[in-house]
Order: sequence, then C-alpha cells, then structure tokens
Amino acid sequence: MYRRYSGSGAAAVGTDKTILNLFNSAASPASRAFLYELIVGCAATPGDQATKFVLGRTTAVGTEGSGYTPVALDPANPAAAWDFGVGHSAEPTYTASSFMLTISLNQRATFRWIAAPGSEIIAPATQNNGLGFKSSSATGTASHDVTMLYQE
Amino acid sequence: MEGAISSSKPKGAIVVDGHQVADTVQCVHCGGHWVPVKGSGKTRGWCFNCHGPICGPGCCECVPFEKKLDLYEKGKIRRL
Repeated sequence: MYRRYSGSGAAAVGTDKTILNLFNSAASPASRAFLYELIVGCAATPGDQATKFVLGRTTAVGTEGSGYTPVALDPANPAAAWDFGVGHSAEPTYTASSFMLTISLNQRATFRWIAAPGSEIIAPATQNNGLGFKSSSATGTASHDVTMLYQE
Repeated sequence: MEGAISSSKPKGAIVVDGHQVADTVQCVHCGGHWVPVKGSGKTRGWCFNCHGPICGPGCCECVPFEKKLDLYEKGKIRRL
C-alpha cells in the first residue's frame, strides 16, 4: 500500500528557476514516486505578472540550498525514501522536451492540479531522478510557493 | 479555461482560485498531462495499441509507459 507525503518550497520566479525538486538519492531506490497533487500560489504583494511553469523530469539534483524532508500525511508512516530539494544554486538537470505539465499563471491566481487515481505522474526508481517544478519564463520576480503531494 | 474541452475520462483536474476550470488527459506513452484545447494547433494523437491519447509526435512509437519505466530503471534506455 502506498504511503503519502507532502513537501513545499518557495523561490523567486525567472528564467529556468527551480522551486521544488522531488528526487531519490539512494543508489538503488526501492520505490517510484507518484505525484498526485500540485499547488502553486504567490504570497507576495499582488501584481499582474505572468509566469510559465513546467513540471519536468530531472536526472541530476544540481545543488540545493536546503532540503525539505517530506512530511508523512499519516503520522504512523515511516520516514520517506524520497526527498525534496529547494533553493537551488545550481539547477537540476532536466530531460529535454520532457515536461509533464505546463502551467501559465497570473501572480494573483492560485493553481491546483489533482490527478485522478491511477493517473499520477510517475518518477522512476533511479538514483537522483525525479520531478522538478520550475518557472521557465516570467514577467516578474515574485516568490512563488509550491506544494507537492506524492505517494511512494 | 477558454477553449478547454472537458474529457469523458479525465485523468486530472485543474482548480484555479477554488473553481475547477479544466480537465487534463494523460499520454499513455510518457505519462505527461495536458489540457485539451480545441483549435490549439498542437498535434496530438491516439495509440490504438494502448487505447489512449498521446501527447505528440515525440511519443508516436508505441512503448507503453510502464514498459518504458522498466526499461529505464534497468538502464536499457537512456531517457523517458
């Protein structure tokens, strides 16, 4: 039975700026990750700026500023095998032309994507592979918050 | 969402400011999601083997996603 976890991060948007990266650093991961919900919003001063976000496959973790330990949605569950990277100084490596979801969003709006059961976006059980969420272009630089919910 | 087509079997939902604005469909070969928009000009397709939509010409070759994942995890293909 899958266990569910959540993680969040925030970063200023711009050109190819990763906000949150879900990855597994184990040499031989025992499980895949199934992303089933994604929430994006901005808590900065409201403004009419537009950002294009993409969710893409990552094959290298880059250099994260800090990690975010996934929080189990069921407190009885053990620690997650997968991890989140936030605040990257060096971007994760994205697979070219492999974007799982593309979102264009006004800064004033809050966006939420939910997968139907069985239709989650899946990250493979391969070391340092995962799913990265980044801004690919933006008219502003406001910090946006992202929450990912996944199961492993 | 302007132009978005609702799907009979949506694979995902998009909610903006508390209102569901669109459904998403999922590519049976790569697992990616998109909002079907009538008249978008994007080339999509259908796999008669997997019996499901595909996201574009890059996923034309029929390799079911679960199979692709297995091959990738075993190191037999280099990218998903």
